[in-house]
Amino acid sequence: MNRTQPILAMHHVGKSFATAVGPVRVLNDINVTIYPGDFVALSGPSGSGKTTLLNLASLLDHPTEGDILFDAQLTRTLSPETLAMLRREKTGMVFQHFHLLSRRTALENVAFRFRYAPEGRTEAHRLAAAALDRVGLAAVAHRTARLMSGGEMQRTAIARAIAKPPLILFADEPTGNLDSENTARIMELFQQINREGIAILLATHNKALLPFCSRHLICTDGHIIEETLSA
Amino acid sequence: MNLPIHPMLRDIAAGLRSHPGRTLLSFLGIAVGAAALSILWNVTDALRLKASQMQTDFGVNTFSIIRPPDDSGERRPIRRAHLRLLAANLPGTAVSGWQAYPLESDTGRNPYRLLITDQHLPAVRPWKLTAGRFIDRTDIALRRPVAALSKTLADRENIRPGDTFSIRLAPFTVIGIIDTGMTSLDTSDFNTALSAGERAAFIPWSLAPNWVTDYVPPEESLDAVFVRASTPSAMTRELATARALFAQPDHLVPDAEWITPETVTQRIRQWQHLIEWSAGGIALLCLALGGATLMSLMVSNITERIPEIGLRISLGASRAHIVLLFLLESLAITTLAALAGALTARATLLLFRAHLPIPLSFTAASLFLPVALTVALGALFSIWPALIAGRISPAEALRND
Repeated sequence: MNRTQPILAMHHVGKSFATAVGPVRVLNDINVTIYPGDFVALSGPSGSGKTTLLNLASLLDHPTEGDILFDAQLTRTLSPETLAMLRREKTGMVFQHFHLLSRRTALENVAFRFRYAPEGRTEAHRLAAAALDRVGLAAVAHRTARLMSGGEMQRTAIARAIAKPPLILFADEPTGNLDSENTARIMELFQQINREGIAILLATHNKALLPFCSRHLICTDGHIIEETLSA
Repeated sequence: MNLPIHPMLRDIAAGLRSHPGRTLLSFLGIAVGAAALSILWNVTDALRLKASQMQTDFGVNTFSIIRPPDDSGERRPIRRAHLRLLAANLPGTAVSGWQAYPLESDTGRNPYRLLITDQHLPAVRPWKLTAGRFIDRTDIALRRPVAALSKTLADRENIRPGDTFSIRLAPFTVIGIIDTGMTSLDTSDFNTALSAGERAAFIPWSLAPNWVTDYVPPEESLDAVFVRASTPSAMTRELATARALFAQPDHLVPDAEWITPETVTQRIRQWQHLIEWSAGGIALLCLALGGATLMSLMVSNITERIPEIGLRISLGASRAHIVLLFLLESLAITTLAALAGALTARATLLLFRAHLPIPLSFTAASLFLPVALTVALGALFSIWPALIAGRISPAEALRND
């Protein structure tokens, strides 16, 4: 495992939100480093700041304190266009609620990964079909998203995230809406993707997922503690 | 910014399909506004053309004296004696006049105006004789039952010179067809007196009008007198002379109106402004309502598509992409609705033009300018919601399920 060049490094990161009753601090002095090939679980109770941390790490939000280095670039110095390019080219995201376009087919949803990318339509569809094949959904490629099961929807979402191989895949409660059988299938899929060199940062409150991961970060009251996982 | 056409069109179609009800409402609101605007444009364009055409029809060197219709008989009328007075005192001018009666044709199909006049009318009204001849001195002297018909009336009644035209069951020989020009503007007192109208029959004024109406007006009274100046430069002087003649106690007509080519244009412009303000107000109201519906459609559309906005940003869309997406969606619906409204309006006007009491002009500008104005208004109403969409935080958007 390459430990010299981290994909993501968060130094003394803090995040506050302005509210009617004054600023609310969600994250405090976060220091996290993720390397290529890491499969990091981020656990913690609801409201502990997991999703906020994930949003900061995936370049969807900006910290109010501290610095984030993504692929060796200091994010606060980057233009919105460059950040959009990094999200497009180097990150992948999987959500608890899948966020598929319900009127489009599985293939179209996966090809949507390339909506803002330079790949042409034919290339996008070829890569989307290959990604669907990898997650075992080649047979339902032309099924409309709203007619798919929860497991199929999540696998489609994963296919969308990996259709253009990212440096790091962010997954926010990806199994939160799935039964145990589908949860196991999704986690096996994540392991397979991770073995191909894609780092994964997975936010979950489900401790049953920890054995699939290589590192475990615990988010409590806006702070992060790293727990050593038993082999 | 990467702007591939195909995915953009797909996005627009998907966005519009996602809320068919609201899309249809906005479409209808905007289409109605565009249709109203298109009709307004047709009419005002036509009025503009009509104003210059009326000036030509009326004659640039011609002035007229009219008296609003009055059945009471108490007011002093314009009489044929006024004509003789003018002719005697304005050498070199051409002087004529008429008395008009609205009638229904004996076939029962066409209302028209019966105009009792003299042989000098063609000299003061620059109308085109399309067939035959006009009434002459002999017709008047011999009280011949002859009539010259306007082209529209002759066409509608399928009559040619030599045929018989029946007026209140009295047979008249048609001696000529005349193109009376001014059309579709015969609804005001001013025009009733001044304009022959599209459908008119001219007969010698030596024929008594008592068989066409129960009311017999004071002898030799006239609705309008026309004077063509001897030369263009003499018009102002001759007009002043005519006014002075009409100011004499024996010839005084207190409520007479003096109509010059400028007055004609001014009246038309008044019409134009009235239509522009009334129909224009309605059209803009429809467009504002359509725009407000469009804005509400967009706001609701954006609210329901917040997760999609988050997804797009997570996949590399910039804020400009998001703003453009919603702007183009709204422009697509506005353009389609504006085109549909303008084309429907034009088709309807073309279909019913013969039955409409308004002048119409079917130019390319009257089709495309309302569309352009509607699209511009649509864009204006869309900017705010589209900017809101562009400001949505992706983190919050993705949390929204």
